[in-house]
Amino acid sequence: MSAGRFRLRLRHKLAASLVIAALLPVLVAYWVGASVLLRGLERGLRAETEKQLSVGLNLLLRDIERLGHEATHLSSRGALVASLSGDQGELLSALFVESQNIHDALIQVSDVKGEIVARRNAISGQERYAGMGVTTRSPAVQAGLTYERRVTVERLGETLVVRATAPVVDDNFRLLGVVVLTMPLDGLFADQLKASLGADVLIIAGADAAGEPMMSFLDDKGARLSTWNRPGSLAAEIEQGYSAFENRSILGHPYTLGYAPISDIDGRVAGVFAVALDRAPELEARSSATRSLALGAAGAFVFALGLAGLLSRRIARPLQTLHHGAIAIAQGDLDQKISVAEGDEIGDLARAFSQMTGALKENQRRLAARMREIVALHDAGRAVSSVIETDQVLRKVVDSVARVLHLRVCALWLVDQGDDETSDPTRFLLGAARAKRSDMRTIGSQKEVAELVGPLRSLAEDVAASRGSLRVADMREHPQHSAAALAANIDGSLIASVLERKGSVVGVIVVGRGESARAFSDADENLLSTFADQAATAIENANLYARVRRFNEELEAKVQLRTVELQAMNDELGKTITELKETQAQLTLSERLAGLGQLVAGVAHEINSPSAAIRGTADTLADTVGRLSTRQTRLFQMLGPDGAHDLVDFVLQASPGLAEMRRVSPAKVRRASKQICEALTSQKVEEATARTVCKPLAELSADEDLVSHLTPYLSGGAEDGRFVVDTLTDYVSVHRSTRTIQDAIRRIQRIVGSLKSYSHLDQEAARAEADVHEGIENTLVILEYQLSRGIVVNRNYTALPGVPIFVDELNQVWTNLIHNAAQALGGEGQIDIETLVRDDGIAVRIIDNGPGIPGDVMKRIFEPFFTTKAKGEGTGLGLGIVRQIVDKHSGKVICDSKPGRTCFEIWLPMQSKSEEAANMGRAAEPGGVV
Amino acid sequence: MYTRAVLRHLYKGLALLLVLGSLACGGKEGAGQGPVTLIVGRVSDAIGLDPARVTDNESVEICGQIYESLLRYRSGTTEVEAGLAVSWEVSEDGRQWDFQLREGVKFHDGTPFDAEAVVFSFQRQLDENHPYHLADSSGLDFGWRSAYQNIVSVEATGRHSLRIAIDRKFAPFAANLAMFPVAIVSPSAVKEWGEEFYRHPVGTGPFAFGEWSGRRIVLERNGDYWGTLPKLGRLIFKAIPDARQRLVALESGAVQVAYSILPEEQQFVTLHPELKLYLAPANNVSYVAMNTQRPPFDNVRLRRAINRAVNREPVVKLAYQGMAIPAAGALPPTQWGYSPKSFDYDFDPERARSEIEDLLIEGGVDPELEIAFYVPSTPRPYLPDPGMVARIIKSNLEAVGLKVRLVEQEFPKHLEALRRGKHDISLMGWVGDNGDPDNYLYVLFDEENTVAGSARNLSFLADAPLHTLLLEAQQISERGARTEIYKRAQERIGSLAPWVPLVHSQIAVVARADVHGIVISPSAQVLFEQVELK
Repeated sequence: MSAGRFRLRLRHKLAASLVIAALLPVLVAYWVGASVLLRGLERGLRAETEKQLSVGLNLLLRDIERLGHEATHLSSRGALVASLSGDQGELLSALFVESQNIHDALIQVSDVKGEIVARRNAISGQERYAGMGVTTRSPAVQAGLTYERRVTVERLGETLVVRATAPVVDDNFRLLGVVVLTMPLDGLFADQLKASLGADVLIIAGADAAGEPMMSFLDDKGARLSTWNRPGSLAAEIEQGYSAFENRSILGHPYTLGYAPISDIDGRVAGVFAVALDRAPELEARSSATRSLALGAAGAFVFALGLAGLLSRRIARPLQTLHHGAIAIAQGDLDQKISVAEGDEIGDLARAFSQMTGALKENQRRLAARMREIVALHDAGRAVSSVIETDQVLRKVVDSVARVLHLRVCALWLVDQGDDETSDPTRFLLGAARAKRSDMRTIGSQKEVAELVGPLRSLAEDVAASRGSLRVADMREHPQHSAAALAANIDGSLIASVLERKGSVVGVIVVGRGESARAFSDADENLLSTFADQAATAIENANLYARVRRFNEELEAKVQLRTVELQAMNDELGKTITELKETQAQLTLSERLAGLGQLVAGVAHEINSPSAAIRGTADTLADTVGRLSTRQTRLFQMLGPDGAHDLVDFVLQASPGLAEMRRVSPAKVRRASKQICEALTSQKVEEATARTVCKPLAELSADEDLVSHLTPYLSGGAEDGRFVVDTLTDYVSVHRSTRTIQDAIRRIQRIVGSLKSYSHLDQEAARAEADVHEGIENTLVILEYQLSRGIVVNRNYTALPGVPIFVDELNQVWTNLIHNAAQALGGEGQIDIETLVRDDGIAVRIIDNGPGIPGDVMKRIFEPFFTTKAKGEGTGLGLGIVRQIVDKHSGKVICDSKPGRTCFEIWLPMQSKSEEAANMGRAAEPGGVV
Repeated sequence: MYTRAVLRHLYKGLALLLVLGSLACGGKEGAGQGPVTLIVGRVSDAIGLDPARVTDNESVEICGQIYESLLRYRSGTTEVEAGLAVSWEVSEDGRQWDFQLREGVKFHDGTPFDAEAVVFSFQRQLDENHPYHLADSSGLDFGWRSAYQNIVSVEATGRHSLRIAIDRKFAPFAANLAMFPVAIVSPSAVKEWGEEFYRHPVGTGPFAFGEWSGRRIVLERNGDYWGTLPKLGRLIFKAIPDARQRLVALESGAVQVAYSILPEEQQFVTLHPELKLYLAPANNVSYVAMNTQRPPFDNVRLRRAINRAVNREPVVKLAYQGMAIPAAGALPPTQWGYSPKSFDYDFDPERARSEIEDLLIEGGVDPELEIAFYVPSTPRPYLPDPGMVARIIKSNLEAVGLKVRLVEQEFPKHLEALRRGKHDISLMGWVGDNGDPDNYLYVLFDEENTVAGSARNLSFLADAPLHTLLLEAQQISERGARTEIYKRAQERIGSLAPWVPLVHSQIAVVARADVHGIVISPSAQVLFEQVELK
């Protein structure tokens, strides 16, 4: 409560809100009522004005229309038509007679040239129509001269006039002249309209309503009003052809004016027509309505004000009492009584307040007592924690409890835990005790105390077994332990509580009071239990302390022993590491040697088969050549020198071609021999001969040409024929053998060539830009014997840029990967080798369609010594070495495997990292890269 | 308790205020309820509402709101555009017209619009054996059948495709298909109502038929209309035969639009700030036809002289009371293909007189000749006062030295006499049918239409070059090329001067000033599609 600061009392707020609540509807009601009423009145007046304007306008238009009819009527009068071609006098008298029924117009008649020939005023007196007549050049006359009938409104200075034109024609529709009627829309006209309309009328020339109006208003002296302020803001609206309304005061009298435009024949606004309605009655109704509304509102307001005051008083007074009482209580005066007699919520509140103060007082008292106990307990706890010897702890516990709880007997039994930390309830030891004699003096001798509390041991054991606590208000009535209690000098209340530590009972504390003392309460029991926890902790700490000391000593001895052992082990380890390093080096070398071994085996195999072929063929060749020389002789005998010569020439010529032919299948041979046989017989060769030679010829794949060439030499009978053909066969055989030997030699050359480029595996070459494809191709040649016939190698090479590589080492990479692929395929399948340029480097993919690498194996393939091959088949260093070599090139090995497709991709960067970086052998990147 | 009572009073007060408030604001909203309604006052009531049978303006006007044809005139023009058909193709020989119909359109009774409905609408009037080629209890016949005689067959080629075959290449056929007689009617409604269909019309148009009672026809907006929805919710046509009463109804607001006001009221309307006058040329022409088969009117010099002798000014101003524009050819200016001043003869009585005197001297004209001038005695839409027009022309011709005898007959007799060619000269007129120039030029000037008894070429002009031009124009579909040919045809006609073209009459529509968007089509109908009240 700060003094000097303005504060709104609840009562004031209440009053204010009630006043607002009452006032607001009144104001709204006033406002709405007034606006509805006033708007209604205004709207009524506007509607009335609109109606009058419409009626007035119609009257005006009817007059205009009538003038048109009058002109037409006059123009068709026979007398006028007849006299128009006659003399002036005749015309004037005809005009006078015929225009009698025209009551307000200047009547003019022109001849066929537009010359005005007659004129008459319908209302006598010159001034009214002065200056209003038409001339030849007037549009009205000109229109009539084109036979046009026309009625229009024209502006003549400050006056609007209506002009009606009608042509005068004779029976043959020949134009004789024009009749023009002119009627001014002046004050007089306005008066006429006022008479039939009952409202004042204004007619203003000009579209902007700026002209001097012709008005029906007369001032108090009876003179026609002539001053006028143009309705500025409405002019634009009127000019566009819309009606407009305004309120204005004329001659000190309020009017509502409605304006409507008057258009001419072309739709242009020529002037403005206005009616003025008296606003006086409306204003009067308005002010009286406003007055009564205001009065009503004021009355309602005063009433609301009074009501609000009264109400706020009634509500605020009991609140004030409550307020004072509450403040007093807040300041600590709990004896304050709040008396509010009301039966409402405020009364309830006051009563609740009184109850609350009572409860507060009681709680305050209890709190003080408990505080005292807690302080004592705290002191006791501190005292207990301050010692670490178990005996001292126990004593302190017992002393503190006895002091705090004002006990006659307090005894603490411990469960002896021994070293194995298992508690045995049978080993129950009295830890400490304190007791008073019946004369209430504390027993000094520990032995005496022990004897006194001895009988309580069984009770303590029971409690320990039940793991709960026991509270008895009067031990004399306890069914089991009353005797024991009495023996221990407890004839009143008793509590036994277990000391628990980490879920196991470590002891029991039993406290007792004499008959005269207060029985233990819940709070006492709680206090004791809290204390028991604290004591258990303290006892445990003391026990632990003792045990730690003991362990420490043992440990020291053990450490001494271990240090010696470790020294020995360390030495051993050092030796092992050295050995391991050596072994690794050996193994790496042996893998390289194994590569070399594979290479040598491959080369040996490759060279072996062609050389065996050469050997075999050479043997046959010798035989055949020997045979041929003998054949030569027989041929001479058979065919004579010329014939033999010709045949040999032919055979020498044909045999290289035949040697090129592939060997044909037996089925084809059968088919071909049949054909040859038929061909021969058809050429008059004896059937026996033909049958003998046809098969060997077919085996040679002899064509028709050859057969027909041979035919002349087959006439000597079957045997001779056969001889000729065999000779041919031998020649072919010689050529075939030669070819075979040539092929074998070429093959050996190729192997040796590859070997040269493959180079030595145990030598480190320099890094140089080299063709990766060549390396792969050489590797394939060398591994050819491993790639059995069942394995198809597909090459899918892209033109690659030069990449700096260690050719020999990469060759080992290819060797390992292709070798692995071949092994994975187990003799049958497909190896795809792809090269491509990607990510600023080149990539080589070696893909096999073997069974794939299982997931668990996949994780380990790059580990050294890991192999899935049978013992002795591989060292398990193959892929490890691959990775090592690729790392050296700063490249990556990516392995992706699933059944049917295992792909090893070697990616090598275009620009090698610095030599240093390459040699560091960085760890592989995570992800698919292993 | 006390407080509660006070509160109760306060609540009562508040409730009262709310009532007052709603009263204050409610007045305005109430006025906006109900569909926006426009009432049209016209001379007479419709006779029937079956588009294939009606001929009178009042019936045609209502059919135009309810029905649509395959093609239609672009708003306010005589140009043909897609209507219920979305596209069409004409075969090389011009005889097969393939139409693709608009999909998703429904008749007002919910019947889906498809090719079958189109076939039905054509066949019921063209095929005498069609089950719905019935007599109508309105007594109206399928009067337009002859206009579509060139149709050989109408077949559906798909649910929404259609083929119409005609007997020869005929470009104006597109315009014919935009006319109301071939508007598409709901087959299910025709089947349901039979001979009473003319009082229960069902089409696809922007307005649906509501009711027809007394002399009042109510149309309601077709909310499912495929095109631009009309702004009016309801359109009522009310017959008020007396012109004066019509104007009074308009002035008082009982109708918002009125047709056919008296010419003498026109100026009153013009000056009235709450009314608006719309003048539009009617799609017609009135003319004096000179019988070129009868001497001396076979002489083109005489015909030209007569053209110079006639003064159209008193005709327009007196006989038509200003509700017409002078004609200088057969086509009204709103017709596409219109060529201005194709009859290039100014009113020049002096020249006419001297030319005729020359002819008299040369013997080309018999001085004793008394010209038989055939004139109808009853008014026509394009001739409100034929007697006065005849007398004006007679006086004009007499002024240049010719003798004229008027032969006044009732219209049917007059027409029969004319078709037989009994006249020297005659007073006649023509109302355009389909918005195609062919409908004026071929019909009124081609030699094929000079057959005595059924002639429509009442000057009996037979000119070979003109005939060639007119037939050629029928064979070409391209608009630009046709316009060019019609221009040449009009020049040719003008130089041959078989007529004295008189006037194209105007129609006057008066509306209250708060009616906006009134457009009058070249066929002199008010287009209500975009009309709104503001």
